[in-house]
Amino acid sequence: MQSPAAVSAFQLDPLPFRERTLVNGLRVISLEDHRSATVAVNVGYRVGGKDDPVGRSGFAHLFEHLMFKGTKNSKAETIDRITEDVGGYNNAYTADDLTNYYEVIPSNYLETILWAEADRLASLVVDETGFHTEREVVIGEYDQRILAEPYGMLGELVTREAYATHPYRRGVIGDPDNLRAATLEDVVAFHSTFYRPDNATLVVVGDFDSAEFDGWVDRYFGVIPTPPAAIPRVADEEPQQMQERRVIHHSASAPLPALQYAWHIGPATDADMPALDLIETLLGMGKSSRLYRNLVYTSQAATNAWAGADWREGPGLFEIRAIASAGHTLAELESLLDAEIESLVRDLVDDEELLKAKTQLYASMVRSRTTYNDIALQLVRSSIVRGTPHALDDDLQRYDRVDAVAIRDAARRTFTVANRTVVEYHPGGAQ
Amino acid sequence: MSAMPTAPPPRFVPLPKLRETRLANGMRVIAAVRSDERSSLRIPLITALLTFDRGSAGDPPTLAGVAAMTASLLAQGTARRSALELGVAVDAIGARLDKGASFDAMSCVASATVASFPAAFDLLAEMVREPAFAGDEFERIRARSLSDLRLAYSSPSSLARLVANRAISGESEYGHPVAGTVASLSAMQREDVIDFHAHAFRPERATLIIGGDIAAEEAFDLAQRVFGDWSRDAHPDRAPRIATAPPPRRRVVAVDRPEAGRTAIAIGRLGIERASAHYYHGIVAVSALSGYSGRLNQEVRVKRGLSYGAGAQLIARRGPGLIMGSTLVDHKRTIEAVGVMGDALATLVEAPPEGAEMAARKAGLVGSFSRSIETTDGLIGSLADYALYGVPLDELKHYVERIRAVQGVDVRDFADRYIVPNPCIVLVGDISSYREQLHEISDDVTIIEGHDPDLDHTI
Repeated sequence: MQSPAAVSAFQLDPLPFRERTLVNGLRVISLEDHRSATVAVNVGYRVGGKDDPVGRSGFAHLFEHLMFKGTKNSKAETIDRITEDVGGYNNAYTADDLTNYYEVIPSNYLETILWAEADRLASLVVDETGFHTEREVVIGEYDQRILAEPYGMLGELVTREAYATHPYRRGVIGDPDNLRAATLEDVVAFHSTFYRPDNATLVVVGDFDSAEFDGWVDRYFGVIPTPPAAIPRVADEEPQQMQERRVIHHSASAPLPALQYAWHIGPATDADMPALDLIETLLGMGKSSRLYRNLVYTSQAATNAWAGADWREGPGLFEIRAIASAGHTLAELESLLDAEIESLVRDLVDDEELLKAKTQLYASMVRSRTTYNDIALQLVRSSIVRGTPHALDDDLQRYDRVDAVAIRDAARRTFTVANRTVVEYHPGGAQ
Repeated sequence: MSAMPTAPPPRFVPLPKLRETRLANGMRVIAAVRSDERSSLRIPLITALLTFDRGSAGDPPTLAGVAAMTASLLAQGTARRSALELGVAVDAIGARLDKGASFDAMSCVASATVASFPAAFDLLAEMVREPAFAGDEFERIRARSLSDLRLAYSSPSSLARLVANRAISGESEYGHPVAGTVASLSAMQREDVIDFHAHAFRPERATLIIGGDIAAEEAFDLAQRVFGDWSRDAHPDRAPRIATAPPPRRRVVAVDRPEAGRTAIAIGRLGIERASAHYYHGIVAVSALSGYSGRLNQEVRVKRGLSYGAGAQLIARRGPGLIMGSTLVDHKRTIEAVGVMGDALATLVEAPPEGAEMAARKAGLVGSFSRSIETTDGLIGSLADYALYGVPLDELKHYVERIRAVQGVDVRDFADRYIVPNPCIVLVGDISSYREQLHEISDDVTIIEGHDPDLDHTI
């Protein structure tokens, strides 16, 4: 299928990380490198929006904010003091399946940060004042990201409609009314249920000495006990969708109509993963991509168009989104998108285009190693969403093995009308 | 849990080695070679950045957006390839080609894996030296730019920045939006773009910086092979006119957006030139205001929950730039938030940062600079900035000491001169919530309602 020269161009050694598990169940992944005097520390917890307590949509994300509010041994915002104030930064994000806390710091502060991360895992303290202030901040974040952004509701509408029963339908940002109903007792219960060593993955990449690092991990994390109770896991299966679902939404702030499709796909460990990632690339990556060429460039019906496989621990979604150009209609976008999908289902992609997509994916894998934190973020995600950091090792080979038939077969399994959810986003306010 | 451990002294960071040469046609070439011998992780990537020291400040007064249109059109085909063919050529090697216009410069970037870099570099040169500027592509980009303007105008935050820039910079070469306006884009001709290209894209105006996984000699050879034979006919230079911005005065400009979810607040003022002796004072002053721990965010978000975040920016240019604080708040709390932001800015004069706060802000700046120059793209970006503004390249070595030299009194003087007095306050949101209270902020109130602001003229 490919010339030998093309195959040999895809050279990328697996990330040379070490992995060990402490007696208390904490998974530790580390990659020592001395290109610069910084280090990236990530602590990923296997808890996300899908694990929100019933009637508390958005709670995992609210909880993420509370992890900055102090411990038995330190004041609120200690993490900010020992990152920002020494020349580093920190942040955290909550996804459907995981919550990840990360810091990038000058490497002489590694021991300090390991202490602080262990400390907030072991002895978080939240008081009423901190809880109420942060709850308002999170509701403000909802207003800013969902209400104030012209297309902010689009993603929420898709997941709410596409998932009939799975908790993924509630999204991560959640519901302000649910958040207002949350109590301090919910916070304590959530921390003791999910914030425990055997539900966490520590990833450290950068400038440190491995032996010294192992000692610090044992000293600060090794002493944290593991509770006896089992960790509750979402086991819901999403029932197979039998017919198209369609949502029609009117937005006061969107200047132009937008259309989004979502099809159910398997979990991140699905055998179709490499083929669907290549389809995402064929459709959406670069000026040569099919969506750009046909929707944005040739017909000029869209100002932009985007495709993406949203891989999750449970069932995921393959999504396509297009925003219309002025003077173009949703009906035009829909028939253009349908033509793209039909082509994937009907025709075999030619060798040249497939090689192009593989080359693009290879280049993005190389680029994803640019900073220590880029590397740490993918190790955390792979560990939690795909079950092991080693899932990354073979991605290049997995992509390289996909041929045109595999792509067409994956498209046929995925892109049926009965399997899709459509959101029509019309400008012009509520009706 | 034991007490918090203390940190040992910082570890040593090797600075990249810089080498430079000049081609016979005047192009300056800089190779930024990273010392990666201490790394176990090879990153086989190379980036080249080519900048020209003419930008949107050189847009003709009635044709805002010419520089930006020129940049956009570079990717829309060359003498040898149509726009689609160029897109295929770039993607087939997994490269990235970018281009952009700022007020002071035009920039083009090629980035690729080691094996693909020579081909990517050829494409960069083709795009810069032989753009097609085809008529149908001009119309396509004009239509897309008009659509993009609608999107930008529909975001209260981006509209507030554009309005503040115009209100503060007035009729100076920095007043118009880089992206143009509906009127200017509609009036523009293809010939305007060709003319701009002829005067801005010239080897003697260019600096080429190559960095990443490549040796200096190899970078110089590539530059010579691809750009060595580039010469252009003489073309009258259009140096940007340096008109002066109006003297700052305290005023309010409110743009009515009844449909907006929240009100965007921008509080800005005429700032400094990049070459100003006060540049590092400004950097430290603005850093005391910005970030999660910055004074603006502390007052606006942490203490009062008025917003999800608030911060400030220093934009230094060849001529005087801007200093701007911004946030996004509930319409009903807009007046309160303006007061809180103004008070937070004033604290720089009343109580300039000292001691632990000053140490923290400086460490933050040094850390963020260090992280930035650790990546090839960040390093090249800093070098391009130095080259553009005539700063010696060894500023890289001096950044840390220059930041450390700034004192509280420098911050106070800077704020007293450039941040606190006579700010322009721009509000974009549902003004029905606060129309009656606008006079509490200033006697000088301009309300824009029922239509988009006219950014072709001073406000």
